Amino acid sequence: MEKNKYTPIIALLGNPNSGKSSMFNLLTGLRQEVSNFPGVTIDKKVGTLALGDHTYAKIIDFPGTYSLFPNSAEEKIVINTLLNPNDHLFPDAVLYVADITQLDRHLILATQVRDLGMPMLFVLNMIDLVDSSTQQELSAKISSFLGCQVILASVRESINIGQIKDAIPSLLTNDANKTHQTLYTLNRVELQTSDHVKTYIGLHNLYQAKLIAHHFHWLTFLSDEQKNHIRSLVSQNGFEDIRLQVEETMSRYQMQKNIVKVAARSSKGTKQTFTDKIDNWITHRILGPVIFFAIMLFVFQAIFTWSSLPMDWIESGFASLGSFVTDQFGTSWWTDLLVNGILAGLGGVLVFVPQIAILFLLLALLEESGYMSRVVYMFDNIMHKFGMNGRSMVALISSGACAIPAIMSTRTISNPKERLITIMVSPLISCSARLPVYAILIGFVVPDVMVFGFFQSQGLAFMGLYLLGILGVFVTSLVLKQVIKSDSPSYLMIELPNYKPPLWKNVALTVKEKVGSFIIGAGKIIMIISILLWLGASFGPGDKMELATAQATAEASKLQADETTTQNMIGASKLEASYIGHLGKFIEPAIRPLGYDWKIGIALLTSFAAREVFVGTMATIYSIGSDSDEKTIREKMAAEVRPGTAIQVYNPATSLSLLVFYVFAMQCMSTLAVTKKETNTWKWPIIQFVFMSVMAYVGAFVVYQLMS
Amino acid sequence: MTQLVENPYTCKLMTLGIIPQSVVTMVRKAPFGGAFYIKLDNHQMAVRVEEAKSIYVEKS
Repeated sequence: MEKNKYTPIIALLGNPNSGKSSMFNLLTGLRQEVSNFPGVTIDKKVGTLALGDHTYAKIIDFPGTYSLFPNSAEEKIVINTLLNPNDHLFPDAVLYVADITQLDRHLILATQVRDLGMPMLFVLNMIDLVDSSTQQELSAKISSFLGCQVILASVRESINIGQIKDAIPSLLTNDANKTHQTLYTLNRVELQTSDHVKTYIGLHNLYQAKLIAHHFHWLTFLSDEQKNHIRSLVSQNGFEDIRLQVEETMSRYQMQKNIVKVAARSSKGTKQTFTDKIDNWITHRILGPVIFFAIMLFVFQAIFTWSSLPMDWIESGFASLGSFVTDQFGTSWWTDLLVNGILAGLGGVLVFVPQIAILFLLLALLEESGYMSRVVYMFDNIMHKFGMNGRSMVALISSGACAIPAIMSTRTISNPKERLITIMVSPLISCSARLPVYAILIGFVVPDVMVFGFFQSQGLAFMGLYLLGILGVFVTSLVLKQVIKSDSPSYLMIELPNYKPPLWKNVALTVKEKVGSFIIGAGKIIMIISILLWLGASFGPGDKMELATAQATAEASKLQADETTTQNMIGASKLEASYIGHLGKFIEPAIRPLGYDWKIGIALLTSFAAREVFVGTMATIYSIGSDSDEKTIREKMAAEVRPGTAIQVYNPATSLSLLVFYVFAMQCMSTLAVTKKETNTWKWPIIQFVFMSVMAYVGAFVVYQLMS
Repeated sequence: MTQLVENPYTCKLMTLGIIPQSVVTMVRKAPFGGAFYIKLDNHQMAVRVEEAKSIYVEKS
């Protein structure tokens, strides 16, 4: 990123739903990278824009912001950057995007940013919704009001995008864009306080100083000493934070009145809009929730049905790749590592890609169309009773795919307590990584029959496991609601944007980005675990491995077993003698009350890094080489009996106990890492790990003891 | 709408376009209560009953 110090930075700013991110995608295409803002897991999207003559500018897509008086962690990032001229992301110029039909709100931030004295290019978006004489009038008025260039454009219809690109070089070089007369006139108290702060910090802009006086207590670039000094300046001058915020906002509404009037003229009319008509059904008091559950049912159906074919391709692809490698290069330690360690692990990750892609695709569609904010509205009251916020619904729904993006989506929740509870309970919703585990085990618990003639019994069992996870969410959040204390105000106040057909480019980019980060993020862990597992299973302490091989060979010849059976017997006894076998045996006493043996113990241990590893571990343990064929693993598992008895290892009691364990257990390092990052302390991930493990152990214990 | 009570909700309500003299229409209540679906000149919003308490309106 810091390749070239002279690459200017352009901040893309605007309200949420102004079309800012679509603009970003149009301007930068695929030349964008996503990383995090320092210290927080808020997505920072940086794109490169060619200015001609081999010069480039960096465009940063800042989170959507309503005003420089922030209400969420996301908005705070913007203000924290704009108030600190020494920040490495401090912009050289601002590209501002506003929706022409929502100017009453979308102008507020523009006037504030302009008062910070930054060169600005104002893009009036969605002009296709307004007649051309109004467009021209608004463009002229805004241009003289803000003192900057205005470009009429539409991201939906790709109108004038080239013109925006062309205007950027002059925006960066032309000093005339920098105006010093502020739109908002500070009153006496504000003037005095800001002047003191300005001199103290050494700033050039008075309005910047005023905002620092408002926000100093959470700005990260100020030292404690600076904060204390500003605190005393603020109280000495009688600078009343809330009252002054309200006054400033009111005055900004006043000064833009004439422009808003012009915009309102074109959108007058009391007739029902398209959005009103849809919302009559979708947010209906009774039909609304019914429609919501129907949509959720459709989403989960789609995940299963649409993904089965590509999943088969990936599985058989990896299986044939594995046998190709063995055929070509023969059996040696490195082909074994490649096929049974790396390829098996890699296949284990990639097989989830279709499901994850479908889930993220459908969620992105719901988000883009504007439906998610209706869900927030409908379920706010229920969530509020459980100590959360309507916005938590978005996180909990995303958890059905993966808890990591879910936890990251909680940044829109401004109340710290509601946000923390949402973070803590999100991993209890069954994520896509639990699917293969459920799929393998459910057959041992529930026979495949039809219930009432049309419900598939195993499908119902699947749903039961999901409901168990949801029950876990409710119970845990009720407990956390009592434990966690907070006195910050809690908000619902959410915009319900007009419905619009999703922009496919945006949806495609979201899916690509999410799937990419899943493959890389989860892939890394699974690769490492696979290699470690292979090493642990292939080597043992001292000469125990050789002894085990000799013993198994002797036993096999005594039984006159064929070649495959002999190999399997050798494999099984080698595993028992290996390092990993010893580890499994070591923890066996602790898990025996749950109905597990040492082999399941190994799977539990390896799954603590990532639960997807379960199937791969089962495959390795039951010495069938790879997990490419679920059926053979399942058959193998079904044939396992406890040594010296005729009792199946995977009897209904053990299998159900394992299922319950996987519903509740925190078996995902990445989730713990994200929780740590979002909460800024190790305390919460540790608590999360402990309470989920306890729930898993107790739940599995009760189930096994009741059933056996 | 006539006036806003000054409290921590005020600033947020204002940035969402709820200011004195704007026209607010109550459209419907949320399925499980606790919130309203309201409509302003050119956009829609959801607010909790608690939050709506700081908005003073005049019937038209």
